[in-house]
Amino acid sequence: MHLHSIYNDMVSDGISFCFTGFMSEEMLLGVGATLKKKMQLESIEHMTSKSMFSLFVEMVQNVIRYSAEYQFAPAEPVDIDLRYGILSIGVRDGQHFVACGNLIKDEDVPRLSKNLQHIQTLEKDDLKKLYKATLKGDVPEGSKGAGVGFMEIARRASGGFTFDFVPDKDGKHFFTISAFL
Amino acid sequence: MDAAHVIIPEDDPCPGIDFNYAENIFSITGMCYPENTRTFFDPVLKPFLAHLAAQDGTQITFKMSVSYFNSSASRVLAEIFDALEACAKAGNTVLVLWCYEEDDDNMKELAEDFEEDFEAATFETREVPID
Repeated sequence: MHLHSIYNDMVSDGISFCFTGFMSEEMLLGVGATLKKKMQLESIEHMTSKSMFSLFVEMVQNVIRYSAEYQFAPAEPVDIDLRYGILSIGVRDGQHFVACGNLIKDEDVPRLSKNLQHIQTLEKDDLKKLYKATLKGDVPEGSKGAGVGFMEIARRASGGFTFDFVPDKDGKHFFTISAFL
Repeated sequence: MDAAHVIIPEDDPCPGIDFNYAENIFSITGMCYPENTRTFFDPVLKPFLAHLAAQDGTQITFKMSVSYFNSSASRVLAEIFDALEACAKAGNTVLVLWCYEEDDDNMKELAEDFEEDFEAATFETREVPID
């Protein structure tokens, strides 16, 4: 195991939380509680810490719902569904960030990319309009939530967000989204 | 479960529910970000929505003091608000009270977004101190 070099990379990159592996609601609650404590200790302004928490929840729940690398329970009715991804939270160039990455199927790249590009171009008011219109309509194709997760990320990320897709193997791409505030 | 008064204590990541059917006072409190919003809300909402649909000339208060909810919960809220507005349109007096933490501009904006949809029901926002 070469944990020391990974550790040093994380520390020098200003990362205060990093998790790679299977994600679940229990993991989200545990890391979320620790993240809240960490932000309290740092006296991060209450509303900034709420936005950080929201970005964290939306991104981890995206991995839990959509990562294309997963383990399901072998038999019904045991409802276990673990999805693999990476989460990192820290400070870079004086900005807080939350970033998440996971594999997705090649065929989901165009839809996701188009959706995210569109959200990135929207001004605040148009983003609000789209948010509400989406809530009022049917759940969008491919969504397991309300279909407004990325809009929530865009609304919370006062420093904007970036994303990219890197080709992986076996018909998959690695998707990363990073939000700044 | 006593249908006349449903109480579910706050249990992170699920909100607290206090639905007093006898008094027609309904409130949701705490934080709300379960991964599967439907699993939590469906059993609570089914009788609630049926109750609203059956009212005539009733005074109903719905109080929301949720400090944070995730994006998938926002769809459930939209559904609740639609039902409350429909209930007011059907001849009931409906008050929707949305409490948000002071200086929480994001929550205030969301409240304003939802407020636009209310005509028959009365929608009020209230700033409350941070818990």
